[in-house]
Amino acid sequence: MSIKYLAFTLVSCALFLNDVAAKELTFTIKNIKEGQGKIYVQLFKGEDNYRLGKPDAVAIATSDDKETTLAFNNLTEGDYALRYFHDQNDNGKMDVNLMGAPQEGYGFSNNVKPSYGPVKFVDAKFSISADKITNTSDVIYGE
Amino acid sequence: MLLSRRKLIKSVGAIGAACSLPLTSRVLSAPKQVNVINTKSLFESALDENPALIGFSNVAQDFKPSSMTLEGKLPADFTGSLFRNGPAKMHRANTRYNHLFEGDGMIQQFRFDGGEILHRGRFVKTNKYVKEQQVDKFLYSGPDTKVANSLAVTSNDTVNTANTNVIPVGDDLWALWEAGSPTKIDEQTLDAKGLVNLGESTKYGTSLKGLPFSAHPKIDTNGDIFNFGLHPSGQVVVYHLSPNGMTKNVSLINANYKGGMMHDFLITARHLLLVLPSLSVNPLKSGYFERTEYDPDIPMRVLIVDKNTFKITKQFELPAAFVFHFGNAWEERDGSIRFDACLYKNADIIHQLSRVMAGKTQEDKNKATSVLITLHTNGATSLDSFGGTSEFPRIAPHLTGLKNTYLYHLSAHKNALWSDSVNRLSVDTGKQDTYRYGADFLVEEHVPVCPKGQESQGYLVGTALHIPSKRTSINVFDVNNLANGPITRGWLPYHLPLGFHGNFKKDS
Repeated sequence: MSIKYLAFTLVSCALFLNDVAAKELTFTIKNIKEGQGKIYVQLFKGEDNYRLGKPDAVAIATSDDKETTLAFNNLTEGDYALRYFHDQNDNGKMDVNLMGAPQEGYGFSNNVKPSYGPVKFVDAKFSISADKITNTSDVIYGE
Repeated sequence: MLLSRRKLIKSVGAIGAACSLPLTSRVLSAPKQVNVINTKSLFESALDENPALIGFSNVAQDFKPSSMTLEGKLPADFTGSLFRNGPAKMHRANTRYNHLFEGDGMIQQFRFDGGEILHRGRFVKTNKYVKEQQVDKFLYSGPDTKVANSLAVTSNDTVNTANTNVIPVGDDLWALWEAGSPTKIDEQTLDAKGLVNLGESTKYGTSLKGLPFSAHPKIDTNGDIFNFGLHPSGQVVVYHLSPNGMTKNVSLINANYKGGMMHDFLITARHLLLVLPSLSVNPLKSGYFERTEYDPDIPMRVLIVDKNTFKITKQFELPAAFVFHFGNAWEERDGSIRFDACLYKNADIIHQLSRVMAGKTQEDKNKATSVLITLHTNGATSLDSFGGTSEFPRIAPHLTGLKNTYLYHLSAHKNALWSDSVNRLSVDTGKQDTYRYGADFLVEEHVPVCPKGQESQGYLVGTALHIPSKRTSINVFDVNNLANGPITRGWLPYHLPLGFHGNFKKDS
C-alpha cells in the first residue's frame, strides 16, 4: 500500500505553529471505485465546527487506487471528526438528488455510516492525544 | 481544478442529508432466553386462537405456477393478468416485523387465458431481500422494527421493500413502495430488474435517484403517468412520465406538510390534487408509523396543482380527517372539482396494522366511509357521505380524471379484521350493489376491467381468503350484478398473504 502525503490547508492550527506537541493523523479511505474523479476531505475539530461545517483542514485525494491514505500533521489535541465525498464525475461538487441526498460516494471517520438520519459528531469523533493516530473509512456508494 | 473552499464545504455538507427517512426504530426488548416473548411469539400464540390471522402470516418461499380449480366458466373476452402486490416476508429467524407495512413485497400473478386461471407468486428480489435471504435473517432495521446489529440504512432505497402496488409500464411491471424508487419487474419471469432511475436518459440525470415515488400513480387518459412523493421535510415531488416510464417533468412543491404520511392522490383533466391528512409526528415516540398520530386540530388541506406548470393554483381546507385512498376526481363545467375519499375519523388504522402483527385484534369502530367532496370555485367545500364502511376504492381505469358514475370498494359488515364484502356504489344516485362474501372471508381489493372501454360493461376481479379452508380464491363478477355473486371463481389449494394493491393488464 502506498501512502500519499497530500497538501492540505490548516486554518485554526496556524495559531499553534509553535506547539511542540503537534500531532499527526493518518487517515485511510478504502473501497474506492478507482479511477473516477477525486476525493474531497474535511477534518473538523470539535462538535460545533462539525455542525457548522467549519473544517479545521481540507484536502483533496486522488482516486487512482482502491485505497488511499492521507496525513494531517501539526494537529493539536482534541476531538476530531472527518468526512469526505468522492467526486466521481469530477465536476467539482457533490452531486445530490432533488431532495439533497448524495448521488456520489461519501464517508466518515470511524467508518460510521448514516442510518435513518445523518451521522452525529459523537459517532464520528476520535480523540487526538497521542503523537500519531490512525483512522479508516470505507466509501459509501448508493443503491 | 482546485475547488473553492466555500464550494467544498457546501458540497461535503450535503452528506448530512444522506438519509432522509426520519426514523429511529423501536427497541424490541428480546432477552436472549429460550422463551422469548416478542412480536413473533405473540402472533403465533394468537394465530392458534384466531385462524383469521392467517392472512398476516409469513410466506417462506415463492409460489410455483399452478392452475387454479375453477367454479363457473370464464368469459371469453376476459383475458389478461391481474398482478397484485403486498407484504409477504413477515419474519426471519426470531424477528417478526412490528408493522404490516414493513414486510418484503411479493407479486401475485393471476393469468386468465384459454378458459383457465394460472397463478404464480414471486418475492420482489430487492437488494434487501437478496442479502437477507442469503443468511435468512433481517439485516436492516425497518421503520418500526429494531434489528440487533443492523447494517446501516444509508438511504431509503436500502430498505425499499417494493411491497405496495404493481403497475404495468411499457413492457415491464413496476413494483411500488412509497418512500423510494420503483423496482422494475420482468413481466414474463417476475424477476426484479433493479431500481428505476427516473431521470435516466433525460435532463434530470441522477437527480431523481432515490426520491420517494408513491404507490398510487395515476394513469391519465392518454397513458401518461402522474405521481407524487412525500419527503419528511414537508416537500412533495411531483412527476409526469410518458406511458413507457420516461420522465417528462418533475418539480418540487413546498407543501409545508409535517404529517409524514400521504399515501394517495388524485388527478383531473387539468390538475393534481394533493390531499394532506390531519397528521402530526409525536417526537416522544420512535417508530415511524408508531409516531404518526392523528391531530384533530389540523384541517385536511387540499393543494390544487396545475398539471402543466406544477404550480399550486389554489388551496382548500376540509374538516380534520385521515385518509389512505381515493377513487377518482373530476372537474365540473362550473369549474368545481369533485372527488371521493375513504375518510377515517382518526388514524387508529395505522396503529391497528401494527397491533395485528402481534396478533392483537379488536373491533374497529373507526373504519373509513366513502365521502364525495366538492371543492367549489368560491373556496367553499361540501361533503356528502354515502354511509357504510369503505376501503380500497377503484374505478374503471379509462375514466381516471374524468367523471365516473361507479365506485367499487370493499366493506366490512361483521369482519373486524379486514373486509368481508365488495360493493359498487353509484356516486350519482347513491345506489349500492353489494356481494357479501361473509365472515369466513378476508376480502382484498377488487379491480374493474372494461374490455369494451365502457364503464357500464365489464368485469370486477378480486381475491378473497377463505379462512376455514385456508385457501385463496379469485373471483370474477359481472359489474352490473355483484349481488348475484361471482360468475367465475378460482381456488388455490393454499392461501396467499393479504396484499394491498394491483392492476389488470390485458394480453397484448
